[in-house]
Amino acid sequence: MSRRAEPSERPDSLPRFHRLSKIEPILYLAPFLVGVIVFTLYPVIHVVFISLMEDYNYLTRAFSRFGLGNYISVLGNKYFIQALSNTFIYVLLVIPIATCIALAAANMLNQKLKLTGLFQTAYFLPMVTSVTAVGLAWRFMFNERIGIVNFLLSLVGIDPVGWLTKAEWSMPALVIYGIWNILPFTIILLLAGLQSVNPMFYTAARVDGSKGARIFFKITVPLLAPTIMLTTIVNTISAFKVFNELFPLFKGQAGPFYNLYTVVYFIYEQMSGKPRLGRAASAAMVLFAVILALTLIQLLIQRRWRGTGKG
Amino acid sequence: MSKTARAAIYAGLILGALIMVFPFYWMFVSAFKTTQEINRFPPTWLPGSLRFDNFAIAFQKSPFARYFLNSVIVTASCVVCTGFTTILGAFAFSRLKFPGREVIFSILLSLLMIPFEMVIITNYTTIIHLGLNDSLPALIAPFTSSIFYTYILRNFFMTVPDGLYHSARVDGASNWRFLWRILVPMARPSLVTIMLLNALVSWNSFMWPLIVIKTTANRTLPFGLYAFTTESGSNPELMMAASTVVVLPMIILFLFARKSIVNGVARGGMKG
Amino acid sequence: MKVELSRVTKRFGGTVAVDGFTATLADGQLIALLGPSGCGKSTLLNLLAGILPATGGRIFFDGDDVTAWPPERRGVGLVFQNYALYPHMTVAQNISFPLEIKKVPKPERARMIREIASMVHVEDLLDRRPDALSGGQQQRVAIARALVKRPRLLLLDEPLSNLDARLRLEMREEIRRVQRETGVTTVFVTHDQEEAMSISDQIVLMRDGRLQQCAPAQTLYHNPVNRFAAEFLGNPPINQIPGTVSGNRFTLKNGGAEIPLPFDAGLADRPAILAVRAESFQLDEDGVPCVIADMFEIGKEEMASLTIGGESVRAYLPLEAPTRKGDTVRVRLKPRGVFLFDGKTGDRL
Repeated sequence: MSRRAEPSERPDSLPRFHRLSKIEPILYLAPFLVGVIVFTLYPVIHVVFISLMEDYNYLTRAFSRFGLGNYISVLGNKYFIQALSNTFIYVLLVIPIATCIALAAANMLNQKLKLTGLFQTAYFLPMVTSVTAVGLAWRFMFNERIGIVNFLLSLVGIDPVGWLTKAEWSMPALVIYGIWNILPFTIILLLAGLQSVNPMFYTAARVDGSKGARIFFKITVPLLAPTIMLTTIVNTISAFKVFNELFPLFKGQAGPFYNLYTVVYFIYEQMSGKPRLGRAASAAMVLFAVILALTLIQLLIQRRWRGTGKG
Repeated sequence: MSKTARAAIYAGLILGALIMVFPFYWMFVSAFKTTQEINRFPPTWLPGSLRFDNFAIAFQKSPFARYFLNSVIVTASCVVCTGFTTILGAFAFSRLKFPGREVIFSILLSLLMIPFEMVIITNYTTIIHLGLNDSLPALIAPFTSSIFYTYILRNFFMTVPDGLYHSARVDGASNWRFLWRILVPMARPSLVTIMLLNALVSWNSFMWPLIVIKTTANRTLPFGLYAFTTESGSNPELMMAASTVVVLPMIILFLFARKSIVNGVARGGMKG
Repeated sequence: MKVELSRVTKRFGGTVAVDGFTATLADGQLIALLGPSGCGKSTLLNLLAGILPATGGRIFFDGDDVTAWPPERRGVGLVFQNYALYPHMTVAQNISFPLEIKKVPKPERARMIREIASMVHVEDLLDRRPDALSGGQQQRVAIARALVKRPRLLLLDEPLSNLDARLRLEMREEIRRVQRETGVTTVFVTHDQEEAMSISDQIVLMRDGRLQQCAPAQTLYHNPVNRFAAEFLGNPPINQIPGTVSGNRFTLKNGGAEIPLPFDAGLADRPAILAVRAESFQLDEDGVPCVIADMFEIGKEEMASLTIGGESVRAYLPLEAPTRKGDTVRVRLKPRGVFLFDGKTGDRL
């Protein structure tokens, strides 16, 4: 393509003597930047201020004073503490399980078998469908009296479980649905990682006499480590925002006994009814802090793996 | 690979596929059952008859046609607007020279990690102050530009050799003409992927409509569906019929454009 | 169209790509812009096209000062090394694109496309897309696209370097033919001296952004203005021997031999570089003795690697059968292809 040897010679800009050229970039950028500034950049800055404004009224934009009042009240709120702990439990259950299942599924999908297209369609379907709509199907499947899940359990002699009605079973139900939901995305990322592994490594292993499971754990998993790490972090960030899943399962409540608050659900609740945006904002700041930390870890990993060079 | 290993893998794949597809199967099947049949235990694996009454009843009880239309309007508007701003923005960031280009772009990239749940608070007040509260434009306005898609498209634009641009300019083509006659047709696969992902996200969007929409007539499908389950009792067969209506368009889209969507997700993930 | 460049300069930040370049390119000629990579020749081409603005100096097309003109106003056609065909358009659409922009009416367009396509022999490929064409065919289409709008100046940026050796020969004849047929003033950039010498009317030799020499190929070869010009043209590279010149005698720096020159340099005891083309040696009973270090046959000619007083040189010599490695032969220099250069500045003495 273009000769790298003469970088200084490559024309990189058009003549400045074009009449339009000064304002032209602005015209091209304006539609894009207006949206970004109004609905992303400004809100990011603004939300910090809101979180510090006590008794903020979003209609009059009045507030009583600047301070950490919102943070104190949020961090002292038992529902927020519950939300934090629920969210962490949810993430800690969903991510490892989903990653392991996805790894197995991706590895199977990566074999040169027939009908891969059909299998892929089946595995990836939940990714494109509404969390609300499929959640309703799960709610019906989890039904204590007539649900298919309890029917299947009854076949192995387990008594009906109150998945959506008992406090102790509501988290497992949410987690199962969460795993099922996050699987397609995880499988796709891991499959892409697998497909980028140089087949040379497998040939070498096979020549050395290694077999299936051994190859998987000694070759595939280590080579895939960076992909697994990144997938885990991306998934963790999205699992931290668990919210939508609650609505179909628990009729819009945070669990059968208000026992399943999550961070985003808390934020949502502060915004609905009689909005308390200051509190919502400070809760959002806490969420952001967690996501920021995860993102920084992600960047660090990406840099390290880029530095050492991948396979 | 040995025959037993191959059989084991097929068995594993089939089991997994059944688990992944089962909720959809159950949704579709239940949508055709009668109230008596659906309450039967043990459940029946196939409906006694193919009756579409559940759909009719659901559409009667709740204005799903209206919801569907709203969803189409909102999704189409978001996709068109985002597509337009993304094409122009990606062109500016890849081809045009202006002071601070790289700085501005890195600031935008750093905004990628901002969760939507964080900006939603201010956006809510912005929508109210713009007088858009509880209207369809409120569902469109915040989603007319996407840093993520602009980033993807800019990366594609950067791979187009300079020569194409320069020869078009020497031939007298303006930037505008070059963009729409040369660059956009060349970027069609990337653009299609971007628009598909955008359509999926937009169609399935839930939290934002939940916050800004109050009037029944302005609901989109997922929100309308959720509202239906709380307002119209919880007849599972009606719920499943309504869910089918929400899910089916995206399933059809996916069957036709699986490769494009999967590649898009694999390349950059879906910003949700 | 006559092109005049007057003190044209282009800087990129701190680096000077083109430095006070002055030259006149005559109307209707095929001009090769020759130089090693990084010498600024592509930049100069882009300055001519208007893709890059000049930092200083003026460019005139037929007396018009076009320095500040945008590319589309200059009426130039441009062909790139990688052809830069629009991949989503057919050959016909590619060729048609410049005409569309000029708002040429459709029937007229079709006629012009057919005409130019048959001139470059791509009339059978009009419905294909670029990815279905070979490199040579792509280059023909690129030339057709550049010519279809009847430019006043055709610019080709390394047009042959992406082609394999055989196609390269074929395409350079084609470029020559098409240029003759259209009579359009043509500038093509190349780093290949053989390419430049074989088809151009005029060679513009560049180094480090500066003009070295602007002359027809034969003049450049037989009368280089400096050591760089002598070095850059010719294959095998010109032989260079350091030493001292006095009148018509040249003494090697290591004192190993004294070579009689075919001319009187008019200098006394002047350190210099003696440059001799390989074909400028001839056998002579009274010549300087030298040892045959090696012999090769290149095509129908014999090439010998000789050692003269410790310096090795390469020479074409009609050596007879009994001669073998290690033998001593006597040679003298022909009047043509022998030059003296200043060792430091490289200027011709």
